[in-house]
Amino acid sequence: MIRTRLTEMLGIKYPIMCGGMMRLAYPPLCAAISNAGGLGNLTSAMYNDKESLRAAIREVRGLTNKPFVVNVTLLPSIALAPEQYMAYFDACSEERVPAMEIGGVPLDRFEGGKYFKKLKDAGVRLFHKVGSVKHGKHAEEAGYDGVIAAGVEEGGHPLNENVATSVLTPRMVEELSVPVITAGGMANGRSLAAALCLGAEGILMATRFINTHECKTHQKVHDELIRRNENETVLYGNAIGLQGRALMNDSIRKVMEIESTGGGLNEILPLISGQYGDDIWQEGKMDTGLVPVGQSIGLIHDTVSCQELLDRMVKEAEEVLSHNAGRFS
Amino acid sequence: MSFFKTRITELFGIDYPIIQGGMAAGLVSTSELAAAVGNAGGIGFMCAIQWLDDVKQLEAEIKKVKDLTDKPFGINVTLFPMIAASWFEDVFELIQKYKVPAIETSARSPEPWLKQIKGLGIPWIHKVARIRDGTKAAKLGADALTIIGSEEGGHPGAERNATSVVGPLLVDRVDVPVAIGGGFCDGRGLVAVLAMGGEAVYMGTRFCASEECIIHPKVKQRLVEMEYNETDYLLMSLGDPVRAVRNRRTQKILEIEQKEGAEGVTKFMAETSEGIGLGGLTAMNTGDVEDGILPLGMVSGRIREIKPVKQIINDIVAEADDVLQRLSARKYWKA
Repeated sequence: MIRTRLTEMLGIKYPIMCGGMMRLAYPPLCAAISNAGGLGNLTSAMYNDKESLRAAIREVRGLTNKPFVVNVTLLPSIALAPEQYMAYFDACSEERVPAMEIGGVPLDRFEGGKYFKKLKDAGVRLFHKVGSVKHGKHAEEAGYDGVIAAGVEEGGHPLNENVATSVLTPRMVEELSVPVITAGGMANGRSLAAALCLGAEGILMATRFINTHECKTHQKVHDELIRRNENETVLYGNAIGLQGRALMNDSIRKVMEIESTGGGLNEILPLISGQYGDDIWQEGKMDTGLVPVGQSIGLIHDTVSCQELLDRMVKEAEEVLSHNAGRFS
Repeated sequence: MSFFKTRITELFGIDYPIIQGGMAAGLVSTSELAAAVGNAGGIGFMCAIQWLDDVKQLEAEIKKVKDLTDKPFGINVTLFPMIAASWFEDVFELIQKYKVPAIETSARSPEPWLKQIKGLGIPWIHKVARIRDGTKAAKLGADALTIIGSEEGGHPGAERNATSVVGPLLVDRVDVPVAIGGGFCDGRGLVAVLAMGGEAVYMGTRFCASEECIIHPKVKQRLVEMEYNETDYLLMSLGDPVRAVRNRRTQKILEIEQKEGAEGVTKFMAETSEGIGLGGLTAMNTGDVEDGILPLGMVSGRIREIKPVKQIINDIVAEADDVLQRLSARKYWKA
């Protein structure tokens, strides 16, 4: 058993958290990860209102009695109305969810910090996902319980400072006293061991969890992530002010072309807006729309159950670390 | 404290799995540095390309390093295709003549020079930024490989893959031992590399902030003062990008690159470069920190002190031991 401040704070077996994933992090996957000893993720943006998120939280609780985390990404450019975010925070505080992963705007700066306080008062452990030490320090000062240090190798929306995990995690650990969780490039037991060596007290993975039996996607998605290599993701979106990393495919190729010829948001948005989500994940059309995965796809070679994934990761990490420690004399 | 062996320490006959990589941007990886790294238990490589204009100076440098240490050291041969074949032949001859203990190749496939490299009969490590270059070099018979992530300074490769991913991946793909670099400067880095399956940590920038490195004091000062997010990634449009400290010059290059593309930036570089560091002094030596190119890595932001090489290496080893002992105690996983 691995104990870190993260596992102790949340009462989980393994210091492995799932990151928020649109159209993927539904209750069954969330519960499967938590039942396997990690911290499953329920991604709020998939729900339209307070009651549907509340129902999803209760669905998770029906499937597991273990802790889990709810993701809310406060990105103004996603253009959700503030009321929708408020509804999510109300649902989470009323349901007293164990933990939340906040991305984008820090929660203390949303609505005057009202919801930050409300969630803290409800006993919700708050984690902020950041790509820079400056943002990490802000989160610690605001009273977050932990910081997720997201390296540029992650999928989704890495900060455009483009700092990689090897530097960001230890730099964050030097500056913060709250637990630091490494995100970006994490996929196996050696990733976990390396992150712990760099001073992290846990890791966050998203892409790796797509290739589990409990992640309900088309078989072609799993096959494609196994087939594609570490060098087949790209950074896009700098022209529109929101950097993202996604799998290279026909849509992203078009986005890159538009960006290189000075095209704007109106031309790019239809290609990346998520309207193709079901085509990708449910129908396996991997050349359509945005597939936001990280460089860690290079390290994904199979599809297994969440239990097998987490058990073997932790076993490998323990073996690697004790083996290496034993080599000192 | 004695330290454990890896296949890389055995290959080179060194005490610690710590490699100072060849660096060439003016004079950076010279005899003083290589000897100091060797004397401290690691292995340092001198970039032959630093003496592109006059191979006799390379000869003098080899003699000098042999005066300064009886420990292993190496020569880096940067396989740029625009360099005359005769220069490479001269370099290989010197390596043979002076029984240089090790060779590092980099920048291009070693295939055209395979016969000469293997003919040296000395430990050979080849440095790559892409997995496919690594598997190819292993097939060609390299004794070991170095893989670096895009966070490193200098030429981190065009694929922009991070160390966290390419490190463990290359380890899986080849049978030969792998050194891992890009982002590391301390004992945490060493044990993270070992955790990934690497058998040595590969560092450049950390050794630039040493007393023995001959770069200009102003550059060392900038290095220890800067943050991790103060590098730029340039010349992507030319296919062989450079990571360097953000300053007036890198910002200007990026501006031109964005506006005028590959053609414009090529013209600008030709008009304003003093030779991109091949065979001449650059800002690394003149200390022109605003108007020259300082090819240092992101890890500069974690380096706060200019230290003697011996202390750098001793501190790394002590911290590595400490971190692993704390993690493997199993009671509480916080290093």
